[in-house]
Amino acid sequence: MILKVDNIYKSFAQAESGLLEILKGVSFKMEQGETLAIAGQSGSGKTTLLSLLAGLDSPDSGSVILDGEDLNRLNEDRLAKFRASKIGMIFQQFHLMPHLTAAENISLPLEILKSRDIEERTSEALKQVGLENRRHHLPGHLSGGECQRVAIARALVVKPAILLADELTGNLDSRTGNQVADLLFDLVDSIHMTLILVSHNLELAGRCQRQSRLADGKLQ
Amino acid sequence: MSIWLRLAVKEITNNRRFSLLFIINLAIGLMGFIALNSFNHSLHAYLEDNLKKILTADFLVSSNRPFSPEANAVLDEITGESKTESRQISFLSMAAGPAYSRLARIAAMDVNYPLYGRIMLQGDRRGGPDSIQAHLMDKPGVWMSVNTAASLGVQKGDTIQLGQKTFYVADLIQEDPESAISNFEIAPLLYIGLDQLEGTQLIRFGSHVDYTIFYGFPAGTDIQAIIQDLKKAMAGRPDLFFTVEVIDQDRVSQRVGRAVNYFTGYMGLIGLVALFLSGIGAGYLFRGYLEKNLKQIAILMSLGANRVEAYIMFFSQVILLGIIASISASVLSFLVLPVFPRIFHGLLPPDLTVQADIYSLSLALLLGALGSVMFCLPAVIRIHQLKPLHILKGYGPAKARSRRMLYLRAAAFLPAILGFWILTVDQVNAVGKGTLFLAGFLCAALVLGLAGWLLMKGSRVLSHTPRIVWKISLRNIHRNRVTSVSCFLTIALGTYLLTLGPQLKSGLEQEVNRPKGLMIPGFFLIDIQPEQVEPLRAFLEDKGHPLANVSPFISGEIKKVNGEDLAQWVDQMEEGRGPRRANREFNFSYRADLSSSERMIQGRPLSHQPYDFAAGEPAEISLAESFADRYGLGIHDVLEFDIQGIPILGKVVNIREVRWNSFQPNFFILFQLGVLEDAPKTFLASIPQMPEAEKLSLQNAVVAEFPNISMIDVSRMVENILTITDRISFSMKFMAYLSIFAGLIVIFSIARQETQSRLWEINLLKVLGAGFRDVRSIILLEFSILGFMAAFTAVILSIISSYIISFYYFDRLWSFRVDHNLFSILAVTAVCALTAFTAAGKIIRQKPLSILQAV
Repeated sequence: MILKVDNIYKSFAQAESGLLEILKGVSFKMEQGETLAIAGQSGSGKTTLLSLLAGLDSPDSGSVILDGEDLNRLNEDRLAKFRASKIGMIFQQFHLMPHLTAAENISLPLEILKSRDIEERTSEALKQVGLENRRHHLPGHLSGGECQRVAIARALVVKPAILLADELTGNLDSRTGNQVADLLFDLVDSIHMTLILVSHNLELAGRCQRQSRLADGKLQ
Repeated sequence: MSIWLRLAVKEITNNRRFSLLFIINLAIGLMGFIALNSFNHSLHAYLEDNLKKILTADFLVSSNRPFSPEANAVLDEITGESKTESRQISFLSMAAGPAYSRLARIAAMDVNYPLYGRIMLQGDRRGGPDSIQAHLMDKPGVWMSVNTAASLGVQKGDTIQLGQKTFYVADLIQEDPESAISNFEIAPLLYIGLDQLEGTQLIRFGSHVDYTIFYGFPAGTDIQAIIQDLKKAMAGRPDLFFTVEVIDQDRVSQRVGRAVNYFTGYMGLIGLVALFLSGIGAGYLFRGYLEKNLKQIAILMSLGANRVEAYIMFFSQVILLGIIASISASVLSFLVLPVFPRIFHGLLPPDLTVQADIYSLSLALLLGALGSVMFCLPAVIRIHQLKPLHILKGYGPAKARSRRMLYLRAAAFLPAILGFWILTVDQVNAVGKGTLFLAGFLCAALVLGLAGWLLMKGSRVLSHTPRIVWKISLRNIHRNRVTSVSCFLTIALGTYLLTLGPQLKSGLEQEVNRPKGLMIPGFFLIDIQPEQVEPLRAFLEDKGHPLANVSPFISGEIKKVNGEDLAQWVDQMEEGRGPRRANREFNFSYRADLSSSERMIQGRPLSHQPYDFAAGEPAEISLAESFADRYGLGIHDVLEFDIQGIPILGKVVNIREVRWNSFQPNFFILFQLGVLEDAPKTFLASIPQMPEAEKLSLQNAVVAEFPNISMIDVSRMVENILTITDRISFSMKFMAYLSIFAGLIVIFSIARQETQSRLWEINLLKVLGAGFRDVRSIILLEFSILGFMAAFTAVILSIISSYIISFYYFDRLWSFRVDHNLFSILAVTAVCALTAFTAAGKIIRQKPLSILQAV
């Protein structure tokens, strides 16, 4: 088992309405290579759940155990290192560093981890996403689909234990979205990667092995 | 290069506009700081290098009485065989040329003067021992500066009258030890030979004379040991040496240094305020920049970077920018430094060269690097509570709700305050003064900040108006809290500095020129012998001028206070309150009633009954307030005096406030009638104001008839004082303008950043039909309101502060300057609006479409 989410609760203090409970006892497990789609309405807590899974926030109670590590028990430094090496993230808005080229964006996690063979691994990742000829382009000079492919390459370059994708195709037209989705699922399949996909797109969600819905703070 | 440093460099180069404004902001403040520090160092180094030249000896002993043969024997024995010595007698006297006369300081010297340094005569000739012997000792010659000769209307070879003796102008001086300090001359120096002094008959009983022996020793002599032996011997024989003091290089350094420190310390503090304002600007800019870049931190954190690494990246940027600003400031300071001697012309040694020194440059580099971190820390600390996914989802940064975060944010200001404190202490060279300045500055900043906050709140109330331009401007002020308060604080602090100096000077100037209820005399007369009082009165009455305020002048010692030796009494005083050393010799007078320049503030008037020596009670005395404060004396304290060998007890019955600027004869201690009448004395007096044209002929007539009486032309003296204060005031104003300039750069940066961040809003207004003029009016109005309110508040605060400072330090001399204050308010408002308009101009002229594309 690669991921075990056990009964997690998360709430936020609100000035007007007191405590706002977002997650109310979410639990699920995932095996290596499994893919899971999480759907839900706006404000249902998808982003909150994703930030807990990525170790970017901590639950009020419950635990997230990823690759044998309880994220709650890691201090901030170790959590950051763990995130760099074990978690890959892909966002709807791509979130590339605007002043870094495609290659520099992809090599960023490797540099953070002070990895070896940065050049080779970056080139390999660029090749995987079909952007060898775009390596020196800044994000501003790339199309939306190309940006998302850079983001996928960046997420996969460290060979993480799990990939978290937030509205993968939300910012792309349907044709480009499909191409990007094909690329992602092909790569995930080929390297037997665990994937959690947050999406409104039912077609995209349907390509995952499991589908769940987040409603009233619980996973259904 | 580490990834973080590489990213930092990349961010700096990719945000050129921000980087440039940040560097300019910081560089302006640092430039003033480097220039002032270098100036201070050059001046102190000059004084240090020229100490011997200024003192003209390794040390000197000085007394206001002639050294007795016994005292000379003791001095000779201690100073030993290897010394060289030079003797000098100096005093104030009138010097009369054929047409003009003026007050001068006569230095009667022997051939050895000066032991160090030199007197250079016109034509680059050295005034050495042979010249002194030939022209000043063997003949009645006099050396004077070219300026002095011009003021006496004489040239080389002409004659002047000193007392009863005629001297010829043997030569004109090009450079002498005096000119190493300053070239302002209130009583210029005239050199004559010691052997020629006798015939002048200028030294009589009660004349104010300094007898000085200069000592020089071969290299390698332990001079400090000799000074210690001398002081020990002098302490053991107070009968011989009680008026003698030893002045060595440390003492001169302290004296000169103290005066220089007051001046440069004040300038340095204003320089620091400019740096502080620059820091506010830089901090503000960085805050906006960070806000824009929070997303990048979030990306990095989601990729596995931790907060420390995010801090490293931003601090690397700040430090790099700070270092670039320091280097730019250093280059700029090289351009500014040559201007300093021009600004301070007349206040500085003429041959002083000001140059940037390595200490100032290193300090600037350190300040640029660390200072920028300190100023940006309150902004960078926001990374601490950053939630990456929230930012990436576009929710914006979370607000500091937890108490811990609020404390952390408040604590982020502490390094800047601590750094500022260290710098203020370094500038004024005293912990107490530095702390007091910082406390005052923080109080002023707090008051101004509070006023800014009130304005922000008030603008919300006032914004309920149907006039759209007013409504939006006022709402902008209200909702952009940090912007409004930063702008307000920056403008207000600059204006405060600019208006405080002139406001303080105004009271002093008015009082010196036209003291309220007092008539400044035309002349002040000193050294009038008792037998000359009546003939002088008759002589002046004959000329149509009365002799006024004739006051006896008696010298004596204060031995004890309340039965305790004066030195011990002074030693017991709280450090920094009392005088630096107990000076025993004082000047006294007696009169039953107070003069028009005095006011009793405590106790009862002196008795009109003559003192009865037989009664065995102490005599009644009155103390000047400043003297009582300095020596910690009050009503009922008993002082033991030695007046020309006769012990007298005096009991304080009242404390007087004295208007020293009245130029009337005033004294620290007044005795009741009947105590000092028989003591040997001279008299001081004044002659009331007269038309300027009559002054010279009257002065010449008095000098001709009573050559030993010194006449001080009060108007001329006031003119000299005002010239010096004008110079100082100008120098201070220069620094205040620098801080205003720093403030304007801040306003420019803030206005630019604000308009940039309001692109969408401006665009929306235009899309809704607002014209270029409307958008321009909104910006102009917003910054005019901020400028006006800040300047108005600063002027009010400077009026209050100047009143408080005048009340405590300048004998309540205060007057309100309407014109200057009004002008400051209007000028600052206009400059603010213009600066903001210039900064925003390009953006508000853009077409809405291009702005939409930019978004």
